[in-house]
Amino acid sequence: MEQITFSTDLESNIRLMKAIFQGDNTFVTRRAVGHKGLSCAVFFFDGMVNNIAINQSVVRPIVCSDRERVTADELCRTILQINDSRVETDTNKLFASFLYGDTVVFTEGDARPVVVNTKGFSVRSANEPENERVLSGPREGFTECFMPNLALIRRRLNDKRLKFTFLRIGSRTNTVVCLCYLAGVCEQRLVSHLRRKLESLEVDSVLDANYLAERIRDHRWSPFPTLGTTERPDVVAARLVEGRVAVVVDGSPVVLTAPFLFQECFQSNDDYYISFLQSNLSRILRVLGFLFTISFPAVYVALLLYHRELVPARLLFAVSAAQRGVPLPVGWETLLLLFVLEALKEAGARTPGAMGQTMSIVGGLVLGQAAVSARFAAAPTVIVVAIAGVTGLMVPKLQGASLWLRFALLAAAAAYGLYGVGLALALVLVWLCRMHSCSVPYLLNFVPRVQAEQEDAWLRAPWFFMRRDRFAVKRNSKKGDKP
Amino acid sequence: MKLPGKLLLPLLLLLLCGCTREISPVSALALDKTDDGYRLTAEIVRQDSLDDTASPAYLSASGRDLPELLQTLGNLLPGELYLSHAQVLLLSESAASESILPLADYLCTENDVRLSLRVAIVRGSTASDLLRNDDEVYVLSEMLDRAAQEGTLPDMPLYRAAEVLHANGTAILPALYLDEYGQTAPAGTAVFANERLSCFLDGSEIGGDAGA
Repeated sequence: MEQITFSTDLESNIRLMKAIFQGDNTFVTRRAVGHKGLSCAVFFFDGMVNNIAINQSVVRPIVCSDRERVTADELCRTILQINDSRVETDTNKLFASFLYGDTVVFTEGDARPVVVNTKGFSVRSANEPENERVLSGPREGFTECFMPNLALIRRRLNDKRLKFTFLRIGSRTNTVVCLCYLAGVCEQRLVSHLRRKLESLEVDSVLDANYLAERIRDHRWSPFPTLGTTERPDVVAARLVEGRVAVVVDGSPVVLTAPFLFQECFQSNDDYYISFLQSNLSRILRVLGFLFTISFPAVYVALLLYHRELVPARLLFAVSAAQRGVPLPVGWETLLLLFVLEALKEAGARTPGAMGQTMSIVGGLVLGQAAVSARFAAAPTVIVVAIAGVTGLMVPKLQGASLWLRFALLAAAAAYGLYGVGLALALVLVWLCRMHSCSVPYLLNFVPRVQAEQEDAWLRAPWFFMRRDRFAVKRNSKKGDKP
Repeated sequence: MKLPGKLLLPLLLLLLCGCTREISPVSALALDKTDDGYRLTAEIVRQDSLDDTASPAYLSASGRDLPELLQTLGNLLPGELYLSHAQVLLLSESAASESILPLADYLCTENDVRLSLRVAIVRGSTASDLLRNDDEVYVLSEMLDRAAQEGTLPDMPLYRAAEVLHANGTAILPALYLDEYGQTAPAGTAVFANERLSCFLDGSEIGGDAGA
């Protein structure tokens, strides 16, 4: 921003401010004059401020003041009746605060502006996030409002070691980003690592957490997530306790957490609020669901194309009968049905509420039935694709990876049968073994080099067996773990 | 993903267009001796839709040896003669009176044929007649499985029969016949010596109650 210099003359300051914000009809200038002659100018943006706070804590004290002239410091200390006000000489910080809903007050005879915290824009309530619902447990979720989000975290972690470090990113949006961690629990190197990454970003806008996530994550081209995302403050608090770092972005209800491990994809919020027996069964089902969704269509195609002898006789006869009259080979047929499934999902997700449900029903039932009746597709193939689609929903954090792997494995199966599927799965495993998130191996607990807690890895131990320092992973720089 | 990886995926997708022939699955085979060679009858499973039940259809071919018979049968069908789900091979007495070791060896080396294929000898009638007697698929194999589990007939799948024939040319195989009601029934045990059918033991002699 160009250098702006204010003067001690109030009128010229008013002219300057009006010139800067010329054409902005939400910009409001209020002259306030005390009965003894104290003259001030109050600037704020309509809709961004708390009007009651301005009237009662800024304007009224000035109007009722019995002083003739005060300095900016005196205005802060003795006139304004508000908990958060300061003299700001840095124009960049001044305008950042002003544009974010603070009020700026100039007084006659002092070139230094006073910034008063009067933010008061409307925010939605901290409702439970739609995509992270729980059967029991806390129902609060983050909103788009920055400070209340931090308050939601602090309310759960009453620990003086909880740190919130602010950064500003985006030359246009000047978005506030907060690094949140528990000092002493989280490795300082991890914090420095993330801070360096964030500070080195050269972007003009940050409108959502994902703007940052794709830039700062490891393995940017991988469909497997290497940064955690959540809209729930209880999840963030739990991850901070485990020594992770959270990145809160102003304007986004999504909070990023790092490091993120593969096993976390199969963990759910509910796991910690219900019986460990039930939650462990759910986790096993999720792992099986993931394996199923990526490999079931591929195995089906491989069996029908190359390994029919492995199919039980009566099942083979039924499938062969269903395939009779279908114009496409089973590989193409499965591929096209998977495309249709993804198209239906996409249409359902983009269609408003009730219409989306209708869309799903029409797509899932009517279209599927019609396709089978018209011999566009065989019923077993529709069933296989439907099962793959349903099991894919069991692990929402891996939906992207599931989608790509499903197609890749299908191609391998159509080309090389079960050998192709096995080879492709082995390559995926090798790929996963090579991955890391903030220098922590992605397959932690699978990799012997770095061992961490096992109590809450693939299965969750009962709470009475949990150690205090879970996720006590220590990176070993001698063995190549570099932050 | 590096460039080779990006190229590999579309390449694999292109390979998806490989077509497969429709299959004609065989559930059982029957081999009879004729004047000028052999006659092979295949029980082929027909199912036209998911709602239908699998029903048998029969197809016969004549030839000098099993490879030729199978090839002739395959040529008669629009789809691929699919032997992987064949579970029974019936041999008539006349066919079994010659050395069955080459036959067993051929079947063992044929990729499509399962080594668990059950071989049985038909007493008193042709193998083809006994095969055509039932109007459901896999009735014979289920009966032979059950009889083997109960101990009323020898449990002698193809791989075991080939193994003992190779060892000393002696083997026992289950025998079947059509009873007076026209039903397929166990008929004791066929004894092979020098790779040829030597005699039958009645069911009573091996502890069962079936008899010819």
